[in-house]
Amino acid sequence: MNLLKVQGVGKIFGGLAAVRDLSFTIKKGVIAGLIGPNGAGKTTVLNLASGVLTPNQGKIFLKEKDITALKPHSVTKLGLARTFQATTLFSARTAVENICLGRHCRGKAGFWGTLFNTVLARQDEKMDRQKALELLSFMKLDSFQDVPAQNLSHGNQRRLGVAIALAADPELILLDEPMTGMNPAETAEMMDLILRIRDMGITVLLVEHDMKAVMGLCDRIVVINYGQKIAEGTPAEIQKNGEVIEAYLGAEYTFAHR
Amino acid sequence: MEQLFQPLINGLMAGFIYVLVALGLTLVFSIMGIINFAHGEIYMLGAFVTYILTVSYRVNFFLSMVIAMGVMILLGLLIERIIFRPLRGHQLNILVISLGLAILLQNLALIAWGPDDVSIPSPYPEAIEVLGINLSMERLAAVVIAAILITGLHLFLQFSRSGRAMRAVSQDPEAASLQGVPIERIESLSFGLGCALAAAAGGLIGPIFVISPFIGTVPVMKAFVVIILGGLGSIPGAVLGGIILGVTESFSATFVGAIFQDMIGFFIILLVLILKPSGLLGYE
Amino acid sequence: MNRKGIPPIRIFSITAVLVVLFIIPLIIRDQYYQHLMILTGLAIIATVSLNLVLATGQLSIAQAAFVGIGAYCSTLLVLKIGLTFWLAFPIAGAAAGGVGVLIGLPTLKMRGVYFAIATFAFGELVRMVFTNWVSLFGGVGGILNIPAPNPIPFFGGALYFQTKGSFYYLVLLVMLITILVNYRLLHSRIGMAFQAIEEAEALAEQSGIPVMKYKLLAFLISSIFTGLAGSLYAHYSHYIAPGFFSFWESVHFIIMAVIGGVGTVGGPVIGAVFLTLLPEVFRATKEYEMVIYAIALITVVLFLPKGLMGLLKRVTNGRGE
Repeated sequence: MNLLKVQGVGKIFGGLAAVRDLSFTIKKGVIAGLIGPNGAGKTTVLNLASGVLTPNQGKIFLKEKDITALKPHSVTKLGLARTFQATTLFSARTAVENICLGRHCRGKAGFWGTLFNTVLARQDEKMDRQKALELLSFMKLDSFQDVPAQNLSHGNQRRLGVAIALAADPELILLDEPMTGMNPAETAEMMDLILRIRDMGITVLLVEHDMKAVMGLCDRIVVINYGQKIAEGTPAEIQKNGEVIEAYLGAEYTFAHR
Repeated sequence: MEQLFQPLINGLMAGFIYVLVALGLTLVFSIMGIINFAHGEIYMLGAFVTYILTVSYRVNFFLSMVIAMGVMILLGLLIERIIFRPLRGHQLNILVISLGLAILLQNLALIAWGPDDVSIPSPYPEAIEVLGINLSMERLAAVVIAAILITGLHLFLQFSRSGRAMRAVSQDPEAASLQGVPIERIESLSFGLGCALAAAAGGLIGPIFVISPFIGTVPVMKAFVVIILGGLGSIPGAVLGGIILGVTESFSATFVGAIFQDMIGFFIILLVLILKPSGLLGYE
Repeated sequence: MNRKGIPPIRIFSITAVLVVLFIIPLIIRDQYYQHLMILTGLAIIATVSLNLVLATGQLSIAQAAFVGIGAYCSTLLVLKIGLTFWLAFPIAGAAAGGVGVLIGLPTLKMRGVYFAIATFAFGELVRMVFTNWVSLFGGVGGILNIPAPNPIPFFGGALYFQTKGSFYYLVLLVMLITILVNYRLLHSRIGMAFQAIEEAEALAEQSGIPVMKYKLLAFLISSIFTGLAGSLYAHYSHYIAPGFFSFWESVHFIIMAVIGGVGTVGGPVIGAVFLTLLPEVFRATKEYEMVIYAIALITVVLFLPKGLMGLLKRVTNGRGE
């Protein structure tokens, strides 16, 4: 089943097309990768999918539902969550509070229920805490439960960011360069985490520059350059693709040997 | 046709003065990203310093104005250093503290000089009449001097090293900093410059209207209209916005009624913010 | 947020405070002090309401305008249509709320500074409408002889509201409801979401928090209670004029909220009490009073970002409220 379908999407900023006629699909259960040189438009694609931006052309479907014009909070509620490139957290709040916030849209009590602190509202809060502690465990961040987010190490902050996204119980999670600034040990941990996320039944779309991670994790890869898709296929196919290699001319990008 | 010219000329004159007040505000916003509600009080203090020098110490009016600008630059640098700099990055806190600063300055002035109006005797000759239109010398001089200051600012920003650095910071602070521009010094400089312009406007208005500790409130409100209309951070926008506001107010006062003169400005703010928040010439 | 029952010391202290609040007018009968208590109560309602909007990270410089809307609405309904206060009062609150939604819809999507300026412009426009639409609002001179609330039948007799003492109880009731509602909201999931919006709006939105809807909600609730305070004020002081609802009055509310401490309910209460009663302690001329206010505000913003409430919490190790 196609979990995410991007169809003929285009986005223009001040006269320049950041994304042009982009189409791809992601099937349920895979780890998909989105790669491309700097400035290729990867973050724009994520912003379009998650609702931060609205495409000028084309449509985006989540589980066959048209999410093209929806705002981010609606998209998240429908089952698509994402992390951000810059470490965005609720810095003054503790780790557990951060994750509770991520779960906000899954609350069942409405405004009046919350105002009058009904059984449903109290149930929501209980579930928030329960799920948050579960996720902290899953992320191996248990000991940081009551630590303010800004006091965590960079690597742990990144993991907390992923936890917040997972708190919304998504079916599809978009990871925006989660390995940035990580040392090899942290990268390996993040890779392991992504596999465990997939094992939980969540589909992953990974945007990354770390080629070793991308080639090691992804079942399918979409390559874009200048806002357009230049290749799509398995890691093996992508590594041999002439256009892709050309787009990546530059010593920084080396393909790991699988 | 003459019916139209008088309000037009009046409007243009008022407009130029609005521009002068607004310029400092928009300059500071473009470089530091802060809106300084106390800008009007700087204007008021500029007027008072000019008044004191001219009347109590018998200093030449124009020299007084220059000295007033200098004094306000110093005050501005002090304010920037002590009050605004520690709050960099917290926009709303800066807004709130500038409100407090405005109250502080206004009431200090009230304590020092009392609430009564004073005025500066006009250093200019009698009003002249050109083509059947009344041109008061005070207003004309204010427009001319305002024009000179505006041009001076433009030249400074275009051609001087500091000016170019300021433009770089206003466009992309990170890139500018990477290129070695001393951000904090440029910010102080631009704040000081903003205060100088406000003080100059205050001094210029002195002979035209009365001076009291309360005169700061209205100009800063008009300045807000101007910079929102023209686009926050845009200097040509401030010029355009000021002229449009001046002329619109003048015409509405003449043909619709004085009541609407003041309301029009705020109405414009809401309209612009709702329809095109970046204003006529602003970037967003 | 998650407590298994409320600690007994809390129940005791809250009850004690409530008892004191209820019997104070019977002990302190001096008209002037009762007047002060009423004004403080009204200030608390308005400041606590402003705090709800501030909690979502939006700076509203139109608080006084909403007080004015409530005041004029209630006054006109009673004087021109002949409604009883008891109907005009809730309608005034609803009207203020309605205007809040109307102005909030286009403006709340704006970034901080723009929103602040928009509310500032709106506030001034409202004041000018009150000043210039003379036939309806009475112009600069305002409206005089606003009647006190009608007596209400009560167990055979009636409750009258002509005296300060009796009006105090009305204000007290509304104030307690305001505090309760705001406290409940701020300490709920929704309140946490508000704070999330203030801290990192983009992340909040992406986490499934309906940012625009919540900002509007805060603004709506705030406007309703502020309008109610305005109505109370009008029927208490029997005289309202546009000058009472100006930009500087709105700034006054902001100062009270900030000095008290934004984000909690205790903060604005402390701020309102402190700054309404401070001039009584100092008894200086208005200018010196304002200078002290301004210096206090500047000091708090620079050194005590969580206001007096934050200071209190630090001193009592987070057990106070």
